Amino acid sequence: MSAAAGAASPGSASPAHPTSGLDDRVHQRHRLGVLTITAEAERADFGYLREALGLTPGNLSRHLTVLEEAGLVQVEKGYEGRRPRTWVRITRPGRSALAAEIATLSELVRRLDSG
Amino acid sequence: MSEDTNGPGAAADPAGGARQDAGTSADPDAQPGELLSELAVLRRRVRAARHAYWFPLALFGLIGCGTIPFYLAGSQRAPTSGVFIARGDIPALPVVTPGAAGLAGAPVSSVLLGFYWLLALVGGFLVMTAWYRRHARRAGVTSAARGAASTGIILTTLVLVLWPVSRLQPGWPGVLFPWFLTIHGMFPFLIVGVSLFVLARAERSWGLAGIAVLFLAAALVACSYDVENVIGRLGYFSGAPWFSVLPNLALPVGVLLLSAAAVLGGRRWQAAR
Repeated sequence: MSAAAGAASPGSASPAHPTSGLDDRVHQRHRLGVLTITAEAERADFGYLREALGLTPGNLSRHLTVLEEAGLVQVEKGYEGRRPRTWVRITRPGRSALAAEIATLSELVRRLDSG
Repeated sequence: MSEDTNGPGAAADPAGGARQDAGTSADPDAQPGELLSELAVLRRRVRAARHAYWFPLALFGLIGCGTIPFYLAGSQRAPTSGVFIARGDIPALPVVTPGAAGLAGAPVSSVLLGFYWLLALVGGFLVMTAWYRRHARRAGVTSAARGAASTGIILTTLVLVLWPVSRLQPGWPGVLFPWFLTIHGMFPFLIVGVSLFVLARAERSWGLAGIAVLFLAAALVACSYDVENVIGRLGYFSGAPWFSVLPNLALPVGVLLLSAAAVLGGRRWQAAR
């Protein structure tokens, strides 16, 4: 869903549809899940994200790459003892993007409920 | 649960396409309401996995229990007149013994008790930090508990520094140091109470915030009131030295230990369901 998809045409007085506020990078169930988990915790482990979202390592990795390239999460790789460990932390833009997405979804629900 | 299986950069699973394609909005049919509900469930699950505050409650409750011999020893000691000091040669918190205060009307500092509290508070906050690190490794999600530990250590250091400074000039103690909170010898619990509030914010837990309010109220009563009076009005009285100490101590310690037991019990009960 493009960010401009639902925007009102130039000259139109009608307000933009809420879907115009949806961000393609965020409006995806699993990427929203990653942002929600990392917003709730200070940081989340790769293994935790994979299990909580029911994803394969490869798929989660691709979602994280999208979010990281958009500057919405930070990925920290390290070791605990001899075990590799990857932690994911949400960034400030990530929090803003998540809040905007939740607000848009809530507005859509409100519109659907009001018919 | 939380082993690192490759991490970002891992090759895509050949069967991954059967699960979800990461490159597209894979759920065009998802209703906004349904999506919001899923996210709420996810948030609750993460919060439940992250919460680990039963341990600091139990830890500081046990630390409180550890003071009993020191308070009892202090309450049995004959008070020296009008002395209200912490000895300068040992770094100790200015903790006085309630029994001595009650008997003489002039509180007596207990250096050993102050020293115990100093070590126990600093050690307790460090152990708390280590506990949260361990919990994060096991659960896979972390809470920012360092702030609570730092708050506790900073407050302890402030008291340690302000106490001797406040005695440099007559009239300063009331300004620099709330000495009236020390006369029942329980004020270290206030430091624990404040850091529990900070921990509640880090844990985003209304439950812990409620416990912190209850605990701080209990600690304030223990700091400023002779709890033995209440027990006396209920019909029991003892002239033994412990009677002037243990009721005040039991109040904050009881709140901590009972809360820890309730929180841990609740977690186990939920896990068993």
